[in-house]
Amino acid sequence: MDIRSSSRIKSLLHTTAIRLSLKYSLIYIFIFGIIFLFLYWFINSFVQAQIKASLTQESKKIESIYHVKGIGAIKEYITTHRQYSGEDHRFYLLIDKNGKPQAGDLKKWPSEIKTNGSITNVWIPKKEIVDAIKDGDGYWPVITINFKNGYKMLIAQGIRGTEDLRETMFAIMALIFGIIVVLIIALGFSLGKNVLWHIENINKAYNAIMNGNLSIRIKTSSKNDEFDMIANQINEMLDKIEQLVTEAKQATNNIAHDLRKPLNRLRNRLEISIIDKNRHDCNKILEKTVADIDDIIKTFNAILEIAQAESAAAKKAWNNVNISGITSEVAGLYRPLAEDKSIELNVNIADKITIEGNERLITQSIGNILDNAIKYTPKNGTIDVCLKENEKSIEVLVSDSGPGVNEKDYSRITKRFVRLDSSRHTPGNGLGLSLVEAAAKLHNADLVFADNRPGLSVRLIFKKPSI
Amino acid sequence: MKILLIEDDRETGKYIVKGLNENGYTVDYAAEGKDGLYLAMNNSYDLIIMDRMLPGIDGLSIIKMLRSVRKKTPILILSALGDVDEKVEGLKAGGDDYLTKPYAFSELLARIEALLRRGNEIPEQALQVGNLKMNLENYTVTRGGRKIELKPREFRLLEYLMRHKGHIVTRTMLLENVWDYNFDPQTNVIDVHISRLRSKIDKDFGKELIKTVRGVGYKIEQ
Repeated sequence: MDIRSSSRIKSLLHTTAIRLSLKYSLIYIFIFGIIFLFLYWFINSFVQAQIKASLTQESKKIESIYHVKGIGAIKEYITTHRQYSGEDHRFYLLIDKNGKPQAGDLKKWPSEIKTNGSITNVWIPKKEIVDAIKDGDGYWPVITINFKNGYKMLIAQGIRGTEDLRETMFAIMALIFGIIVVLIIALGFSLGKNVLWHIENINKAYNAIMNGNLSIRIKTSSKNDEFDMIANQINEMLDKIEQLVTEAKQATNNIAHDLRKPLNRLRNRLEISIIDKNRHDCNKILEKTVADIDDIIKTFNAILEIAQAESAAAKKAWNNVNISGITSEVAGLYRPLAEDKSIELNVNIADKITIEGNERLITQSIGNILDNAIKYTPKNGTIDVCLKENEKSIEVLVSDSGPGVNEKDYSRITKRFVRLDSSRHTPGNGLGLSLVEAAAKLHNADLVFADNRPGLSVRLIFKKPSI
Repeated sequence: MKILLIEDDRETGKYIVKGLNENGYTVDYAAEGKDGLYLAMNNSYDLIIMDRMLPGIDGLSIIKMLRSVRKKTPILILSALGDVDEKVEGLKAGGDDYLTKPYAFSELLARIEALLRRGNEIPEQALQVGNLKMNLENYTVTRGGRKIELKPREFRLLEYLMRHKGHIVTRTMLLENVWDYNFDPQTNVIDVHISRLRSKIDKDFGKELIKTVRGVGYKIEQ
């Protein structure tokens, strides 16, 4: 056996299954032992009682022979019986007044025998038995008879039969014990092997994940046992973790990419101003640069905010949010902006609606949607801001009378830095709706665009938790 | 005015010290938490500017220590951690204001001024800038005796400006203190609100009280 497989067996022996099965086999053996002991005691006493009865009967028979026919007939009875040898053979010994054997199967009268007519177990060694009879050493149940003429006689029951019975019983017991132990240990090993198989799979997945391969999952069996259930749960958790890690990675990558463009623009401007021989006002260039950097910082903050809204961290600041209050405040914040463009801002907000969420992100989302609406709605246009509630959802609706968005662009306008050609000339960084989308996703809300004929309607639909 | 600056980045530290000196402040500079703590414990400052992330003792711990010995010096926290939660944590620890890096120096300066003035503010019933008067008891605003109707938000905006009269307030400060918003709206809505306010309190009175400080914010003064 090589080291690998011996260590495998060692680890198999250490499994709970094996330990339990060993423990249980011990308990079973103990219980069966007690049952067998009881059974043995029961059978034994039954046999003893039978022996006793048969010995008593035999002694009565002999006594009656003596009464009727005298000692001679007894000698003859013993002699004829000697020929018989079998499992339940009885032994006889007749001695005269002087203790000299007259007839029988034993060579001499056992010294420790009692002569009070009761049955006693007397040790009779093999060598004291006449050769023709095959039986061993042992305690033989013996009854004695005292005849009137001073002769004494003993009748002993051969123990071969009971010995055999005892041996058979022990053999059966041992066999059953053996089968129990083997079965239980085999069961334990197969269970242990199953456990080890699962553990090995968990270990493999663990090692792979610790080495950075997040796509590895724990292998499961088709048995769908408790280990498979745990493994499936762990796998689901790993799926979620992998998804989060991928998202986080992607967010980081995006930030790096997103900032390259404005940084490049800034760099170009500075470089051109260095080689520009006609520069007069150094301060002016610096001021412009600072303004550029401020823009970059603003963009950077916006990206960070989106990244944060996309991560679970934003769920830390989860509160009961008065969305009615928020919406009317945001509308209030933007109202002067609309009025400056002579846009009619109709606000229709249902009272006292609250939702669970991140107040800042919801505020900012509604703000961004409204900001866009005002930006793209021409002078003398109309914007409606509505907050309504039904059994299933709470809905923020902002619709404008601007140029609207082509239906095929709905999925594009939430992408980072995407600015439709029609809006190239307006200020903005193309991140506003990205934040709204991230915030909507965080709140498990739907962001729905529709044609307002004319204009765009944006709906933010928060689903109510189903009770 | 004496200011203590605790900032582990020496380059940034030098730049802030220079900027503050040019604006007439005396500055003690510590690059490490424990030096800063020692200076703050043994000297009297009008303001402490504290970087949040410091090697050794971190900024929040220093603030907690100072507050536990009843040092009431106003503290402005500088931090690269811009999360609202972080901000709340900083203010809870005993900070008086929180500025996220990167920031404009003008923003820092405006906030320093606001904090320095906060210490000796007395609860006033009336604010006045030139002939513009604000009565905080019955919420009325008059200029040259003429009553001016303001919406609640406009009133709060003007009140904030008047409480900081002669000093610059930035747009972020206005958003934070007048609207309670911790984010920058995409369009500069503050400018629009200010121009609204201007049309009410300045337009018909010849002399303009609310002034735009280019690239920084606004200030109200005679």
